[in-house]
Amino acid sequence: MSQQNPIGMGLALRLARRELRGGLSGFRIFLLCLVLGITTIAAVGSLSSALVAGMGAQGQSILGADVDFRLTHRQAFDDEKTWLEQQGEVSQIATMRTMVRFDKPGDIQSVLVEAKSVDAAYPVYGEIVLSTAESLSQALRTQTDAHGGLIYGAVAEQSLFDRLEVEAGSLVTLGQVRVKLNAVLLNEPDRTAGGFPLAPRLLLSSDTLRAAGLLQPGSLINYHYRLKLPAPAATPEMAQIRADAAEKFPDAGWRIRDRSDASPSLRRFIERLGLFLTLVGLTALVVGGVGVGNAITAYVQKRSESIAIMRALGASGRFIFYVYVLQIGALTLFGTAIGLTLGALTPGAVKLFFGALLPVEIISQLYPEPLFAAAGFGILSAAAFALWPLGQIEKTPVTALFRQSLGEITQRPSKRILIAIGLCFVGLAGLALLISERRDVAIWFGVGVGLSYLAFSGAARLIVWLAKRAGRPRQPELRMALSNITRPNAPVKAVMLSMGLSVTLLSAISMVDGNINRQIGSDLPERTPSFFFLDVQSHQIDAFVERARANKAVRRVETSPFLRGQILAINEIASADLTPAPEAAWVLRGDRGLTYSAEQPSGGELVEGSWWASDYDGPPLISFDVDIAKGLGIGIGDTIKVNILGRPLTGTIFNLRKIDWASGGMNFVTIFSPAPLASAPHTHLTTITMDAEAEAAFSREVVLAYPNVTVIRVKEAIQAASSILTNLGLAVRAMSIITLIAGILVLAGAMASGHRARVYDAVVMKVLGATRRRILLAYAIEYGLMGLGAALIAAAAGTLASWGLVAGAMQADWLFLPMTLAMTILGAVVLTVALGLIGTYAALSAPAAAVLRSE
Amino acid sequence: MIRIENLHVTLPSRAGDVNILRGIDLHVPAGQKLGLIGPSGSGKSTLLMVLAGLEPPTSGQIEVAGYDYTKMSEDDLARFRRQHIGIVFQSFHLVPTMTAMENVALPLELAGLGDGFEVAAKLLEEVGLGHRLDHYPAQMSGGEQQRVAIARALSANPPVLFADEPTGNLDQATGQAIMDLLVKLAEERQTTLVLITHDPELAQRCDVVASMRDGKIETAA
Repeated sequence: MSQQNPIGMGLALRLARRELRGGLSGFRIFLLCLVLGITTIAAVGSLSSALVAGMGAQGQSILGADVDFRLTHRQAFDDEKTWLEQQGEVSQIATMRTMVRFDKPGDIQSVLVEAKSVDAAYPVYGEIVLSTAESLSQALRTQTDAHGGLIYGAVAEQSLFDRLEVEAGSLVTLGQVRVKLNAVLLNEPDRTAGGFPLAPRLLLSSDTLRAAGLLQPGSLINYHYRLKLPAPAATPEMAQIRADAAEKFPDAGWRIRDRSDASPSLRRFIERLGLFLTLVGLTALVVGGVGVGNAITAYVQKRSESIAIMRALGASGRFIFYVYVLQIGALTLFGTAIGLTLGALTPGAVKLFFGALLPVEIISQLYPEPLFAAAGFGILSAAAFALWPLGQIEKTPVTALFRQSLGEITQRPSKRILIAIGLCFVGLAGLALLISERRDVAIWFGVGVGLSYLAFSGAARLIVWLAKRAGRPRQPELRMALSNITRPNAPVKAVMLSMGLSVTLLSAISMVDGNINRQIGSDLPERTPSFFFLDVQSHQIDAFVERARANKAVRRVETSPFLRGQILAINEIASADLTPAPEAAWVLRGDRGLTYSAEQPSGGELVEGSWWASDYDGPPLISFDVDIAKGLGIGIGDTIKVNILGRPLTGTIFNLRKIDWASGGMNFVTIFSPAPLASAPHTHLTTITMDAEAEAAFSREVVLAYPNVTVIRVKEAIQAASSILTNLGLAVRAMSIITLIAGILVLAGAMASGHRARVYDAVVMKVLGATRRRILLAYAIEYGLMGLGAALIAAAAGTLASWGLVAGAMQADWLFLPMTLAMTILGAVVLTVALGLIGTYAALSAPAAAVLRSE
Repeated sequence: MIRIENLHVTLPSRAGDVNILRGIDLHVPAGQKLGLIGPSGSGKSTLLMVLAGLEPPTSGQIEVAGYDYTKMSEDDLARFRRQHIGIVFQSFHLVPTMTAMENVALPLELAGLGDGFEVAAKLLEEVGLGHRLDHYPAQMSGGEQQRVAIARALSANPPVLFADEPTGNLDQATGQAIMDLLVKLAEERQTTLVLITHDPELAQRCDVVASMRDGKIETAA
């Protein structure tokens, strides 16, 4: 009989259908593992696509324009303005961080705000919503008080009212003017365009900002020119405007965005988080894959007698392989369909229940791309893990099948199957690479999961080997535990892989989370400054430093000229045409802080080249960060063209420095030689390290004496950042719990397959006089040993992964956190033992007489 | 040693409750060998399960070695078994993951009775398996497995031994040898033996033979 002719396949299909008539009882874990992994990946992908699509659809109101031109430090020159006005209606806004002060009797309250001045055309798109019935222009108007003094109008987010402890209608001080907070700003359509807010928004008129005296030369201000195009513009037209702007004003240094990608930083964030969570979902699928393999092994073993009979009646090994591949294939498609359906429904469900909490309105529709990816991951992982036990059927001789109906089938699948398994894993890796913007993350993830998988498989063998060689302990509970570990079909590999992989992920996340918390938490390094002072003018800097040094609580003052500039080109190749390494790409995005210096600064070590002479006065030279230079593929002698204050300045790299980013102090990627920047208008950045108890008083002193200076208290900034990180941490932890659930499912499946043997053992032990407590103790030792083995290796692998992430990807100091790790290990052991005992408790309750009769 | 009065066991089934034992009265003095014969379904094995404390009676009194089962919990019965009762099953019921010596030592260890392995080795030697100490059940023949089961049943030196069709899964010659061994060991140790069998010839090797039918003891000879 040829199993490859149509009759052969037809029969295989008929037999497969007949076998599946028995129901899905043996495949519950198989389906649950598959559905969990596919749903996770499909849901994360669909949700991320729905958010990005939502951002695209609401691009106009998020951006507040069709096209936005942003300039740092300077307003548009006249020719630029004229050109902009030729393109459509223009609205000008300015944003800056500054301080708002509220004078209470005997106390001064000052708060950092994100101030935004707007003109009459604002908002070009979207709608401002205030807590009062006034229009925005009414709320921002200037009034006079009883003495003829001017009172400027403003509106602010609720958090500013909360921090200042004031009500709407209160008077506060901004720079040199009094400002009345007329209403609470309930909705600002273009709020998300600026990235994550770190301070409350204060909305005011352009006149107010000017009157406040904050528009100093070199002050860190962003000017936006919002363009509303006359007719509904399509993406190509907007692209044309961008191209025209770049061509006409190549050195303008403006950053142009259009509504098709209104908030690249938010989009990037969503896509990266999406990728990260997809990889976590993929871990769940790999962990679940162990369950898939176990379920099929158990199924095949249960069917070994029927397989043997079919073989005895003349069916070939390959024919039977097809019969079972068809069954597993049908079930995989069934599970995939459920997973994809649930994943596809997720955006709609999230919109329904959590829509109000999201920064953008999501568009719930079918997103085929993430669903295809999820289906690919699901089918490939199911195949990768199912083919081994299925391949064993083909190779196992009939006699062995008859003999081993209750035992273990140990034959290796054929070469053909092994190659197919290899191709499935290659396919999984390829798919992960295909969907990853950060290829390096996908590669490291793949390497990590692969190595962990091998480590846990090896550890499972090691534990069995050790148990076999542990001799014959005198305590029957311990001996029974060891025998259970070495018995055929023992769940050692399933426990090690399922608990091991999920605990590795959990311990890595706990360690990274712990490291981040520790580093941004209370015990900041001694060298971390207490304050950053921005926008200290050149004429103020000497007095400012003197005042700071005179304060006894101040331990260290550091100051540096501060400018912002955008890298336009490297070696005369435009930034947009460069392909930097992912970790260096940020340097080319938008404006970055830079400085000039005659002497080598104290932070950072010179690793290549030498410092210029302190009286050097020639063409501009640059000192550059060595790691970023590596990422950009440049070195000493290469040129960098930077737009500073609207003018291009080209410098040659003269030396490379290694920066310690974790120091928390002043660090600049780019340092110029003094000429000609020293004579350009600029401000100074000052950091002050001082005793914590004197910080509040010093902050008040500066706010009163220097109303134009922006005070950033490091502790507060860290708190703001840490609240965002905490929420992110929660999302990541929630995802890692999914992997743990997959691990628990696998464990449950492994226990279910060995349940009959355990019931039998428990009954025999009871017949011989063992109490339930002693039998439970034996099981607890067995699972405790396996759980401990898995947890110890997982702790090591998780530690290694966290070190890679913290020291490698984040370039921060990595701390070993023994308590965090100990808690994770303990949790894993307790969980494994608890699950093991729950799974075997039923064995203890089995009526002895019934079991003995049936055996 | 064994006293049963008006013992009833009713077990549920899909077709309704089945009265398996219907008023059994039985007395076996210490050291006596009782052969219990009867056709399949007569209730012999259920009676043995009740006697071993593995099946609770629905009603009636049961006392073995002075202990009233009706007043004992499942764990009490387990502790009682390890000191007072040995059981030999038709299907041997050895722990498949333990060697012959470990199987035999197990009751001694559970009872906390000294070095189980020394006694186990001696007992296995006695039943002719001195060369099979480290073999697993799957590596032994049926007759060998039953010898291990007998050694295990006697390892804690229990005053009462129950044997349920001990030769049922063995060929005639092996069965004969096993029966010889069982009777010899029981006599040597003055153990009270209750032997359940289909085979009247085997039962005749006991001091007393009782016959069961439809859940009742019909005759005692």
